[in-house]
Amino acid sequence: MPRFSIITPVYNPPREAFEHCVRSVMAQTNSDWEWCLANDASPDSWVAQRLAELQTVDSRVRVMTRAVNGGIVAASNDAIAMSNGEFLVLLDNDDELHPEALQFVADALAAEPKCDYLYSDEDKISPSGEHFDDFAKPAWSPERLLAQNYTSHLSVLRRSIVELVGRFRPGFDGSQDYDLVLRVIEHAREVVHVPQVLYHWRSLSTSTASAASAKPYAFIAALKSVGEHLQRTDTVAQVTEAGPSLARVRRTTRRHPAVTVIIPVDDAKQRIFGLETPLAGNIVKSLVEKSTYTNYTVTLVANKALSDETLEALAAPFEGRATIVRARHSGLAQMLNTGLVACDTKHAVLLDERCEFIDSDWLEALLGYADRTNVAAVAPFLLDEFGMIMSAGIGLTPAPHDIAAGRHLSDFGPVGMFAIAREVFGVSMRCALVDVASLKSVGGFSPEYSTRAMDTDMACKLHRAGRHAIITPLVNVRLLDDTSLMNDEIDSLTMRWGRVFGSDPYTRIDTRLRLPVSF
Amino acid sequence: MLVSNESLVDAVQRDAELLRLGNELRRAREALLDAQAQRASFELEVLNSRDHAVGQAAHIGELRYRLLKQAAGYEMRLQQAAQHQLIHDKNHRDHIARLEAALAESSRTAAQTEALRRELTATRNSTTWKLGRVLMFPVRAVKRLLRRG
Repeated sequence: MPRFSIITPVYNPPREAFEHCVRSVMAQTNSDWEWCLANDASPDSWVAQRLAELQTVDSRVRVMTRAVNGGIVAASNDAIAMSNGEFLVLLDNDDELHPEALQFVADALAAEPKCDYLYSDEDKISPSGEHFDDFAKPAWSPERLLAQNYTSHLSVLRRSIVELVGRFRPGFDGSQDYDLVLRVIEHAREVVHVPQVLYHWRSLSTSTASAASAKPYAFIAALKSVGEHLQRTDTVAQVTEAGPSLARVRRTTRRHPAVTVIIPVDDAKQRIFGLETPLAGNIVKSLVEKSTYTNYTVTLVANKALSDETLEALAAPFEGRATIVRARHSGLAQMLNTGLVACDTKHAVLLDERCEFIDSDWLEALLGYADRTNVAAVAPFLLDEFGMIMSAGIGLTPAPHDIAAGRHLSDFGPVGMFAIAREVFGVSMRCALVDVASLKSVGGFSPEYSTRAMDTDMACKLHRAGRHAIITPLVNVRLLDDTSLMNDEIDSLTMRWGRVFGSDPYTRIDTRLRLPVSF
Repeated sequence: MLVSNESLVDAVQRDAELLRLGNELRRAREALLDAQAQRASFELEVLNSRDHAVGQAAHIGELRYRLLKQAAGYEMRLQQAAQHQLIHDKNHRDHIARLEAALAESSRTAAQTEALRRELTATRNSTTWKLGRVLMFPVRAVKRLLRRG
């Protein structure tokens, strides 16, 4: 039994492209494969002849010919029916594998034997044969997968699980791979990412590689796949279009857990839209007036005696739901830690008094992500007064930075990453829903930092503990502060975490040594 | 209305008891608040200690990483230096060989020159050469005169 079964449905491919595809398979440095080709009744006569020829040239090539054209799903399923391999490697009839693709996959599987689904980076090949558009994919990001089929090619799936979920499903043509992957990950023990370009996707005028809108029916099928996946995983959510080939998943929380909103406060005032405004009163007003979620209590943390005016502005709107806690130590980190200690709910919202809410269902939307596995923090996009993004998460590559800072909200970013909810290395804690136990387990915020460097430090600590964060464009929060969210304590941070800078698993910059692509 | 001494005493005792219990309750509440504050303070200390431990572990990890990186750098530089040394040694030996070859060539040329010089001296000392010079004297004298004229 071979290790890998390469599954290729064949229907009238451009001859030259198909020959490239053949050469790429034959050139594999790992020889433990079989190639299962299903000819979907291609009208061009050369296809059947060439497939028969291939079968005689190499005994590892297995061909079946369908009597009538059944579409990509039927042909792919026929190819799977022929296969014997432990893993299925999906390859389209006009695309190419890197010569070492299967060897890289075999190495990755050896390192993670429980892997049931593996994906790699990919690039595209222009009609003139040039490689372009490298996609340096993030580490396994299940939230991002709901918004876009980012894993796509190369996909390697354990055959037993593909059989368990019933192979490809009719009715999902164009997004059949995505639908299969969404069903497979429901059962997968481990998902592995190989950060190497192992697949070259040929960009033809009709293929989805050339334009996201080339196959609109495929996107409709993709939205359907996501919706059904959410149903199967018992998640109540609305799936809508967020942009070209991008889905937006808005979860509805069935439970309405109690949440503590922790706000460090003082007597500070700031000019907001030209008016001198007490910040503490402003955030309280925004919280009370904007929030539709009601099951929350407020813990206001002050490290000095507040003026009567501030106290009145803070206490009055909450009707007994607010507690004022006095922090014994100075510094923002200790104020937040004091709030965490006083918190008796599973989740808390850390809130800067310079924030203002824009969306009324902000807390419901953030809570929708709270129960995802290993999620320690969920945060909204932070915008400035003019609607420009201040932070869409904290990235580490090439150095700690606020993702998308200075970009307009309408900017989708590379591969649409600013328009979707996704896993990120860390988030700004100026407004974030956090898992209190996770934060406490890593010692809360470090009092060694007096600026927002503590956010990056917290992200590093949580990442070390196997936790990550989610950023969502479903919620936008205005931050009335023109100081940079990043910090001048980078040297101090480097002394703790310098070794991880530049290796952000979720926001990669392609610094790989490019593998040779000639055969 | 008449109130018996006994019931008056009871009422006073009851009020005193209520007052005492009220005070005790207040003290208990204060103690509870103190205990809660103390607990919060301890919890904060635990958080800080945990952060310190995590931070120190991270710092040690960073130092170890830098040490290994530096060691790898030095190792690489050492290997490069050894490589350079080998190349330098080879170049040096090649240079010495070239110098020795040049010296040998020079000695051989000097020996040849000496042999030719000896041959020339022997020729000039020979009877034939001397006789020739005597015979050619008038020709040389005429040539000299012509040059002067």
